[in-house]
Amino acid sequence: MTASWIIHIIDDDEAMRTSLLFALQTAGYRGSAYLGASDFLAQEEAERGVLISDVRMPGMNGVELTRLLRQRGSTMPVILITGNANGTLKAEAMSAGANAVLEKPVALAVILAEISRVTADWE
Amino acid sequence: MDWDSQFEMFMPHGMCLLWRPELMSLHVLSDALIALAYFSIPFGILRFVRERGDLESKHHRLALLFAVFIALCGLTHIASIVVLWVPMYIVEGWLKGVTAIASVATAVCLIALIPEALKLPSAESMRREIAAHRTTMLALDAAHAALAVRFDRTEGELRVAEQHRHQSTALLSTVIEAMPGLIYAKDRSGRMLLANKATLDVIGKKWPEIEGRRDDEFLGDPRQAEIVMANDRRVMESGQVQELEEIVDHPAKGARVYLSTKVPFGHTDDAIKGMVGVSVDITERKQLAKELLHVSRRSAMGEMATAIAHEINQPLAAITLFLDGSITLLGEEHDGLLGRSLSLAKEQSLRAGEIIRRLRSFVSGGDDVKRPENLTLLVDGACSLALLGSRESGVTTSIVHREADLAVECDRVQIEQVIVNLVRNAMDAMSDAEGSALRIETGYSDDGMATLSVSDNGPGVNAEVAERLFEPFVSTKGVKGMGIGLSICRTIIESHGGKIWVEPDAGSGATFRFTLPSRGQVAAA
Repeated sequence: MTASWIIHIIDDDEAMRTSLLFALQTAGYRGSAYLGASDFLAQEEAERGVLISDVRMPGMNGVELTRLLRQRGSTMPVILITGNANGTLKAEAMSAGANAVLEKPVALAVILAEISRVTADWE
Repeated sequence: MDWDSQFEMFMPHGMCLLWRPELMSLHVLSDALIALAYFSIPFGILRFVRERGDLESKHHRLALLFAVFIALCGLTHIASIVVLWVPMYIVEGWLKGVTAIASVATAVCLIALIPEALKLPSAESMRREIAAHRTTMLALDAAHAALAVRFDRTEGELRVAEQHRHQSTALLSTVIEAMPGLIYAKDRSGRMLLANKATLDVIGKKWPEIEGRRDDEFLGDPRQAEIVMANDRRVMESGQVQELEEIVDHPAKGARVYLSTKVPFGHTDDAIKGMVGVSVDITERKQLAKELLHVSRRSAMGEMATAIAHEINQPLAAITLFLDGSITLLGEEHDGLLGRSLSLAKEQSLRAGEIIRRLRSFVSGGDDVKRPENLTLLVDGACSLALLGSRESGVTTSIVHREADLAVECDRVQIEQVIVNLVRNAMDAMSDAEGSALRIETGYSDDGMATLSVSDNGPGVNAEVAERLFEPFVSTKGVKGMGIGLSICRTIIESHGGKIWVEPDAGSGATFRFTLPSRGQVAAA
């Protein structure tokens, strides 16, 4: 069941990409990693999945990406994960259409719980 | 002599005149007129004496003597008439004898009086003198009138001048009283000559209580008075205007800082008679300047904390996820030694993230997350982390709670951070010493604050460094420290309304101590 979802990971930090991919794989998810928003958007037909994106990145940031996806009519669940969360950013992200905002560092269990929550509607 | 037979023995005097009627008549008439004239004079004299009360007594007596003499003369003439018919020559003789005595006595007295009488001014000269006096009096009256006119005019001018003086005095005192600052004047020996209302408010006494007194007689704190008086003396001795800061206790507001401008007065004759001072309360201004410094330090730290947070959270997040992945890979073995170690490592990595998050939100003035906490439990928790590895390095540690429950309101993570910092510093300070002993103690301070102290027996802190130890970038650890730990500790403790300081121990070592308002105090505030 979990395997039917692919997790799209966007982060400019290599350690972050690798570790998240590794942790999610150990939990049984398939994942694909992208260096930035433009990389991800280049994949025309993204598989049905969950997007986990960093916020502060070169080029388009996580909040802008979320807004763009929603404008294009995408209903893909979006979890933003940031090293510098504050109230303003959270409010902005939610209004842009993000499903959750998490703060780095974050335990795998928390990420898994969020994935289950945001995908529950699709099951 | 035979008094009885004289009438028979002699013949009347008329016989000598042969009783010729014309001669008799001439004698009788002349003698009678003379006697009458003589008798009238004493009456005049008596009246004169009675009515002139200002006569000297000797003149008085002389006048009476004169009257008696004249009266006796008159009597002799009466006797002359009588003897024309009655030959009483013995009586007449004695009468003349008595009259002679009176005459001689009067003459003697009168002659003695002549020099005095000569001195008497004549009536004419008296009149002239009186006229001259009258002229003088008139001139005097005129002069008096002129003087009165001039006096009136001068009095008017004086009244106007007095009014002006009164007006300007009133204006000056209104200005002095209305000034928000302190205005006062003192004489050369420092005695109060003037003090406005603001000054009296600060001293907390009424004007009669301080008038003519010196500062050491009316200020509560003798040291403050001594400093103020020394400043006054310096102004008066140098003759120079001085601007200086002074501290004087206000009866209600406590110690206040004043900016005083002191001006010597009495330059005109080169002798300084005293000084006038104007003092403005700059306590708030100084406080503001201090807070501004604090804020600027905090905002610089806030920027740094944000940058650090972003850079460090990235690797921390990676570490956490690698560890989580590894634990998952261990599967059923995750309860083993390796699994437990990995879990502990992950917890610490999350803890580091939490510290950075709190620090950042704190220094950038973010969320206030103060909650009721028990300081003793918090200390135990923080120490268990901070003391990791202490036994291996040979440090003997004792934790003493003088109260089981120390209720405070605080941000748990921040206070834990302070405790860990202090304990770690203490251990670093003792790292080279044999028999290192660390003592951590909690309780209530004298003023009811919750307090914690961390004491070591290391080399201690010298007084000069102790003053700056809580400033940013001051370190005693050389290359090992950045010198921001204690600065952050102070920021945290002060934001909780507490204080943190170091007490260099008398023997060796140092005691770091902080206080936090206890729950009761927070509720009351």
